[in-house]
Amino acid sequence: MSGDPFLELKREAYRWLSDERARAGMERASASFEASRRLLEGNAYVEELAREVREVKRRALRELESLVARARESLERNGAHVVVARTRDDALRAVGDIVGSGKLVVKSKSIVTEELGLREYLRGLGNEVWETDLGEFLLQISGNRPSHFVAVSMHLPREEVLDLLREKLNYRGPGDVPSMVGAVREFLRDRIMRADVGITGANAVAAEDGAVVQVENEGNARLTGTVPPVNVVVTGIDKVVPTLVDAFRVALLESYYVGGTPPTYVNVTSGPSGTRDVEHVLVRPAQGAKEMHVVLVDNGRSAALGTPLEEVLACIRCGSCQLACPVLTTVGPAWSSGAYMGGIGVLWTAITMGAGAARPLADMCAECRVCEEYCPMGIRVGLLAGEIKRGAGQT
Amino acid sequence: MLDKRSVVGFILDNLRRTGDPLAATGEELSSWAAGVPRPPSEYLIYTGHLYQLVPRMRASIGALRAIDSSPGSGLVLRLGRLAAGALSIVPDGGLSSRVSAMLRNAHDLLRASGIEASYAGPSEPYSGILLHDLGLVDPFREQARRVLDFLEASRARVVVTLDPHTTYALRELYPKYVGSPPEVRHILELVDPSAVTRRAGVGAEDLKVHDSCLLAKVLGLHGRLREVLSSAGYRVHEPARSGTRTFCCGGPLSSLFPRVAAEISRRRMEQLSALPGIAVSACPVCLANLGALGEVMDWLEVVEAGRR
Repeated sequence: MSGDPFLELKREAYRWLSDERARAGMERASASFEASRRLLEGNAYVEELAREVREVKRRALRELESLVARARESLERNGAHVVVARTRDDALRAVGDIVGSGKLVVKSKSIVTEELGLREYLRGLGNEVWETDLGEFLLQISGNRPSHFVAVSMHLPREEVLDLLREKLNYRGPGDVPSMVGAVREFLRDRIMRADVGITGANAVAAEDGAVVQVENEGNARLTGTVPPVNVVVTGIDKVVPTLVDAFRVALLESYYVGGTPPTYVNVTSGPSGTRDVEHVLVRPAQGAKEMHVVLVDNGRSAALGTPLEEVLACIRCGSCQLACPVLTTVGPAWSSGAYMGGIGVLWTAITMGAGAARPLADMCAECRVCEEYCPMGIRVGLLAGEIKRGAGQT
Repeated sequence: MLDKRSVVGFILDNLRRTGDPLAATGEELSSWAAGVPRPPSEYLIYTGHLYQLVPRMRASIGALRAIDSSPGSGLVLRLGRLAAGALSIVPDGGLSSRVSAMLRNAHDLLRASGIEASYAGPSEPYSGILLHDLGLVDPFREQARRVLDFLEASRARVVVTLDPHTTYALRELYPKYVGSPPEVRHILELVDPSAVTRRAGVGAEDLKVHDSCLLAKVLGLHGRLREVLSSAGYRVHEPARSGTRTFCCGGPLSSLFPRVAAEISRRRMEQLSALPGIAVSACPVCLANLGALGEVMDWLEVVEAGRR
């Protein structure tokens, strides 16, 4: 290693450029997503939804501190245990205290848990941890970094997936995609059913209602959040919005902007499972999780309020900008700080790791600003990444 | 593999020694303007060196890509500078002639639109835009001040820019960093569409437009470009990514990440290849990068003064 972050970034990008198979995977996935995105062109309903969500987020950021406090109260009223973690270490410690050691932990996809390095942390405490989202699972067993907020493994072509499953799961079935997906499904179902703890993320948190909303297509998040006796939700404070209706809007918009269609599942969790069916006596659990914990992570977010980076907190992590980016779709996960990739990744890296960590990544932004044309929230991604390149936020 | 310091040092050193980031000579920069009046005049053409640099950009793209793949390349770049030309950035003569013709045509198009513009010649300073794009705030500010002084001394009322990068620098960046220049107009805002026609010798009636990111997204002139091309008599074809949703040519990364830039250029050329006609841009950076991979013309090569 040279120790020069610029050279490390360049070396990684060139290594990626030389990987024909990985690039083929990325190009196939990019083309498929571009076709999905075209479904949105001229869709007045989705455009109106985006306008509403921009307004929801603007209002939420104006009163974020009080909304977070309100969310905490409401969730606790609903029977959840809530931690507001100021730093990455606080968040890891909070989850570690809940999970303990020697447990089987399953988790659904969550960018914030990538930001924290939660999987590695829990494994370090002596737990067995499995990602239950297919793409995230493939990254876990391959040691790869995500290349997109949602389509995390879009850079892995089917040929590589087959090699991985053969090597890591002793898979001996055929190489067609449905067969491979079926094999992973069986593997993960077994872990989910036996798990002690299920960790999930959130697309939005409703402050007034004390509810967590999450969209998904695979059904893994629903199982992960309900089958194990303990559910831990880990998400950023930027996800808190005033009401459950607002939260639904955010979640639906994210889904539309990822795939051009509504989500297969929308999960709303407002507390641990329970029943009052016998003499109206509350008994926990019924069929779902017995405990619900919510860890709301700050990690630089509130410090971004009132700065040029505040608008980034409105990001709904749809990754629409990432699929449009000529650079990211060329160099894939090379242009990343781990959880955050591409131009929007430069900005999230600045928020969660500091401008010093983001600046080398900003060198790779072409400042073409096409990302801004695709962002439903109107975030000035390219402009702000350019400002970081020119030293914004440096102390 | 080149580190950032080597590339930045090369550019800053060229600028300090020659007044140009790629060490273009006064002759290269101004030979196109034989017969063009010198200031003062109401309208001043300010090229910012960018069109004239296309041949050197093209040559440097290849050279940087080659040395970026060699061990100890930072040293190579520094030695190249010291050996005055050992880094083989030798501008292609044919491309230089093309660029001169484009610039003369720009002057003629303005005249046909009723604008008599002057040009300062070799004393015209570089805009500094590359310094800004590389994140070099202080050197950019210094260069911008130099340009601002030059423009004020010219006593021109309107500064006519020819490319999107220079326009962006003067219109958006200078006010932020050093102060506002006189009124800045991009040539597309001044050329009368009814005063242009297809240029003699262009062997196609179909054009496919590659939009420069800045021209479309920041300046919003992509519609005007089409208006001019259509008015000249061309059929204009649109790639899937066009207008404000265009696809970068790779140029902005060509100095720091030349191999990434090359791959982005290749992807863009592949997208354009699906359409009929000649690929046309309105940006010297796009021309230098995409033109390295296939036939790409500038809009100033496909239209000329004259009524249809």
